Amino acid sequence: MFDSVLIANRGEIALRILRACRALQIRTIAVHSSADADLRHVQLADQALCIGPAASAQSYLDIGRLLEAAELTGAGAIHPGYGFLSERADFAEAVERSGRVYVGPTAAAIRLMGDKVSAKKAMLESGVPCVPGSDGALPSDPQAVADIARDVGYPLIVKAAGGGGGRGMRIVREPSQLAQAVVTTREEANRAFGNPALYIERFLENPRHIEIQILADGFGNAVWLGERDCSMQRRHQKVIEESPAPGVSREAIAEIGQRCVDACVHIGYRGAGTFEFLYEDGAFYFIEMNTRIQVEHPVTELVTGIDLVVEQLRIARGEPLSFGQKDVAVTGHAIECRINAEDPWRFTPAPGTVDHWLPPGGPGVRVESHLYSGYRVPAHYDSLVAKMLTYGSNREEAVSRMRQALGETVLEGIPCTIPLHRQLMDEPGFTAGGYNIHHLEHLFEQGFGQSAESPHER
Amino acid sequence: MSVEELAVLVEQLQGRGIARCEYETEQGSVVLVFASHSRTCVVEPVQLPVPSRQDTLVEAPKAGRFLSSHPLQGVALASVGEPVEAGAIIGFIQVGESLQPVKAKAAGVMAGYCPVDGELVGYGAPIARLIPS
Repeated sequence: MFDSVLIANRGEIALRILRACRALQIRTIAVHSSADADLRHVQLADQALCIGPAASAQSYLDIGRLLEAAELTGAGAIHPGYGFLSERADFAEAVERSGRVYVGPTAAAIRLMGDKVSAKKAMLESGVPCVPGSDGALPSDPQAVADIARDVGYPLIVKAAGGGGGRGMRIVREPSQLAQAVVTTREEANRAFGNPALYIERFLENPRHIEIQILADGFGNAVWLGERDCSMQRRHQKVIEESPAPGVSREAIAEIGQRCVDACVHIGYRGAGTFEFLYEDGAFYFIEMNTRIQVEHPVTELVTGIDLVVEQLRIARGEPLSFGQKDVAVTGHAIECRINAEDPWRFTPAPGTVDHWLPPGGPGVRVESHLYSGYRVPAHYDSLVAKMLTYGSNREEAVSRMRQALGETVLEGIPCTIPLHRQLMDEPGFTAGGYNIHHLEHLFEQGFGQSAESPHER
Repeated sequence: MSVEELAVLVEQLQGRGIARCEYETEQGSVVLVFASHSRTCVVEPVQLPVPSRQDTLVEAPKAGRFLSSHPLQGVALASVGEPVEAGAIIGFIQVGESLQPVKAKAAGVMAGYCPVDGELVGYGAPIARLIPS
């Protein structure tokens, strides 16, 4: 049991965690870099402490400074949020060793699922379907690799075991390209992730990205809380998420959801987590598990009515889940648009000062954002500045409300991706639903939205 | 403020758990610093000019508890009104058992400490103000 939480993050998720702590009467401690003293959650927290300069390596990624801050402020627990140290097993381990509670899974679970090879092995053991591929890490012998590739089939993708977020992977369409792709990816994996291990998988040409949200309490109780369709992506980054996934039967979702729950019990998982799948021709293929809360978690909260961050805190306090699978119902439809401080057509980050911020409102509208008029978006961090969500009794109503919400939002002073989202709300592929992960890239190749609107929101 | 008035002020404040007293007028400022473990004033009250842009701030090199003296010595490392050399240690930041020195980046005359002893300060927080020598 703990009565204070140190929030080891920034921006909208730090504010979200603060609000969840308040709901449970937990004291909040905001730690921040020198560039973030004006953040909203820093102003609202019960205690705030600047721990380092703007560079993440010396602030949000510095385990030593975070643990010192926890000691200085008497924090009983640490919530990592997403990004930064949220999937670092050594951080979870260091927090627990310091006598504090880590709001998340055990270090062993993070380590198991953080390595794609061991994760895939664990999933296969649990009955979770995976993309056909190599059985474990690739050998060093090129001929042995070529034999494995032939069995998997082309096209295939060479991936770094420690990679993620679109980095450390290479598509191979012909056997003649294989050897060079393996050498290049191995070198890149070693440099970027400190882990040269590679594996190969069949490359799915036109999949959708569908993920399952789970909660597990570490006492053998786990539930799945519906799915999210995150197929609207640009450069492997999610742009729009929604739930339920259009056109996928509830029976298929229930079956894969139950397999995810079984896997959680099998690996002794604790906390919130997400199983990510590629979905093609009616079949799910596991790609990775995110052992943390995700950016798009409010989509699930809107359709289930369950506060996932509050549940994370309850689980971290050692409480068993207060509800079972039969209590979880997915009702209506929710959509999230990620608003980034970026040029909406070129996706280049555009930090600066927000002259005017007027978020939308009305029935079925939820905004998660740390913005306020006069706030300066620093250049040092991720460009996500707001998440705009709408809920409706069905997809049409949710889309209609999103169209209206985007239309009434005022964000002046910095370029942002609102103009992109406004156009996507009327794009035929989006309105039909069920598009694949290449849809947005294809739209851009066809000249979608170019110069259609000023990058500056009005 | 006359010397007699200052003497009365010092007499009334010392030994009452007050660590620091600042008194500013248009003519200048007075800073009184009291050692927490002593009934005597460790720094003689002096008349100082009002803060100006030429002053330099010494900042905390990390987050922790500020100490104006080494825990084993108990004497403030810098005195108000006295010169401070560039690189001189004017205090410490304590985290658990570790002490990190707070060093003056430039030379100047000590105008006063910003936090009180034992106060939790963040990275970059102002620790002391130095007036150009």
